[in-house]
Amino acid sequence: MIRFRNIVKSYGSARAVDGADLEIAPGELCVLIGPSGCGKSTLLRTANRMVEPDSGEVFVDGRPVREHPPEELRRGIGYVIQSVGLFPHMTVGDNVAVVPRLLGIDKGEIAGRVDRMLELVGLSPEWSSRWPRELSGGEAQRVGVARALAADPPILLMDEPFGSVDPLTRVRLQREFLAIQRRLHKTVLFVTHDVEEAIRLADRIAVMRSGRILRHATPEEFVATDAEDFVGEFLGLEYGVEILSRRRVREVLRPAAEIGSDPGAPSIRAEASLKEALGLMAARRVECLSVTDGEGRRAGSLRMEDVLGTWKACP
Amino acid sequence: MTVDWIALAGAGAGLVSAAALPFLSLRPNRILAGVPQYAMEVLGAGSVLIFTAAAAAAVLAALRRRHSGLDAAGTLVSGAGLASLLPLAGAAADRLAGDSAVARVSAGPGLWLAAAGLGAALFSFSRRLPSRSALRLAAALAIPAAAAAAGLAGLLDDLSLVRELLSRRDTFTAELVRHLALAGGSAALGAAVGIPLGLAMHRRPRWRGLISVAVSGAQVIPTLSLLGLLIVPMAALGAAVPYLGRIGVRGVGWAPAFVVLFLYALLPIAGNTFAALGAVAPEALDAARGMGMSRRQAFLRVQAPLALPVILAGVRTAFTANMGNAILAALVGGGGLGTLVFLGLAQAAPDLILLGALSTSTLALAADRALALAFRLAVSRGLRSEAP
Repeated sequence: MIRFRNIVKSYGSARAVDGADLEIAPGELCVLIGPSGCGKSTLLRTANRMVEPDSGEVFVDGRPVREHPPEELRRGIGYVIQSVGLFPHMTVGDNVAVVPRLLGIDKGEIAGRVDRMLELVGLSPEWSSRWPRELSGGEAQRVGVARALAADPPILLMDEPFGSVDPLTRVRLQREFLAIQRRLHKTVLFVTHDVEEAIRLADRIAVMRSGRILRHATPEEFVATDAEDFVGEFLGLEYGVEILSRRRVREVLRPAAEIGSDPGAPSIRAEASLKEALGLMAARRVECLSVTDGEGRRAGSLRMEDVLGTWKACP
Repeated sequence: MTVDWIALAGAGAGLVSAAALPFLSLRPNRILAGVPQYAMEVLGAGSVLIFTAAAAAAVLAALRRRHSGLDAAGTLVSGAGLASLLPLAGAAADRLAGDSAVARVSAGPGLWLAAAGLGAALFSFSRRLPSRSALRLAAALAIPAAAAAAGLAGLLDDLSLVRELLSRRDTFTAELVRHLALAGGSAALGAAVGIPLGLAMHRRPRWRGLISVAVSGAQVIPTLSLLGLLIVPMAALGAAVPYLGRIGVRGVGWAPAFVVLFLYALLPIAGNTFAALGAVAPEALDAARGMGMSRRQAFLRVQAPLALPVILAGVRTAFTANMGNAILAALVGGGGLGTLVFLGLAQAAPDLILLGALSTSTLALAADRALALAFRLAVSRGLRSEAP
């Protein structure tokens, strides 16, 4: 769906992007991660021609982007940036309606679409008449996502979209965005420098350094990375624990019927992540948790080996 | 917890000066020296009203407590005192002048200082009231309303200032219109030229230095010398282009004054436009372009509306300053309210000077307020600082 082929972009003598190759499949959420200044934002911005590469070619749907007039291309690609970039002189509704209006969609259709988009991101249609300055950071960011989705573009470019909100709000926004993505199946290129965020969201992660893509793989495949090289160092040794946040307790629990009761074991919800389960085990110093379902009934139990899988004995 | 020192000083000074300094001054005719008249003698029961209002305001200001009720009471008493000054003075002048057609009654230091002191107290009390409160609005309107009502009722006819006005009503109206045309016209042209200049400075870094030097260059030449410097070129221009000569472009007259005022209006307008366009958040412009707006659309739909409040503030500054500066037009025969001031200077008639000066500053204040209100309506509600 999006393909970057050998992209090079220099600013003066500094090479921001230095021969980057990346391919994102339709419906895939690719997180582009790397330290500050590695060229990830620049690479993202070549996809909607906000940056023109010195050499190399970006293809969208198999067609080079330089064949599209930039404005037309951008109207078909959702764009969300860190500081939101909501227009303070327009109401929330007018902000969401920007691209549909540029596309000349008729008024009645736009009004309905604005309401649907706000509902999609968890805001009621009454928010449409508010002003951006009345919104909290998280609310503004939701409107930013609604605005990017308003023209129903097949592709979303997101440049650290949740970078400027507090950690709790960030996690909530990530969860909500993931739920939206599961319904809409957009092709998403998502830039961040936050490893946890990448693990939570990504279908695939691309690690970038000094203008190049070092490795592009699923989050699970990164577990085997050598801790000594740059990618391993950047992801950190805790990556092995962080990755557990991608799986739920319900996926690995032992049904209640299979084993006896374990009285006194701390309980955890089946919807919790394995990372949370491991955290609870470490905090309580137990090997076994009692799992409860949504209504608080006992659903089974969870042992440490269920969390960590089979592992090698020490020599 | 604290004393309102501004209101206390204002009300106290108002009380003392109303009581101890000459309130009015009676001159048997326009040239003779005045005889001081004290408030207690000429105002009668009215003086009690003013003294009580000032004393009450001072007490309220001295109370060591912050309370909205106290602020409202302070606004009320200082406003009432201030609003009653002019009608009372007018009525007293009427009694003093009697039947004499040439006797002049003018305001004395007691009246001026009482007005200034009560005004300061009113300002200090009312600024703590909620910005949309009815009392605050009433306080702002009560003073001009009382003055206008007293004027219409003929109460002020015997004050010398009003005598001057009445005896020159036609000249005054003509000069007022001319003043407005000169100051407003030159500021409007300043906006028509200054906004594109500011835009050019923003868009073309290479022209920035040149435009900036040209625009601020006019500003650093003292007004009077600029008027003098223009005499020769304007005369040449009028002679060279017959049409311009016919409409009055000469070395003296309205044309050089108009040019000077126009040049003075350029700097705030072009400067604010340039600063405002550059201060628009880059994220907003990035988002605009990234969503597929053309350059033109991003400018018209995002950058210009976001810069508008600061651009309009520059226009307002230029209009207000021009209203005051236009007084100098009279020096080169350009007319306007300055004519009254310079005539007063030549005739040693302070009331005439005062008439020109007061009406000019009233005009400047009115222009400032009117434009502030109009521009507020022009700016998006999303950009206003307080909650809608």
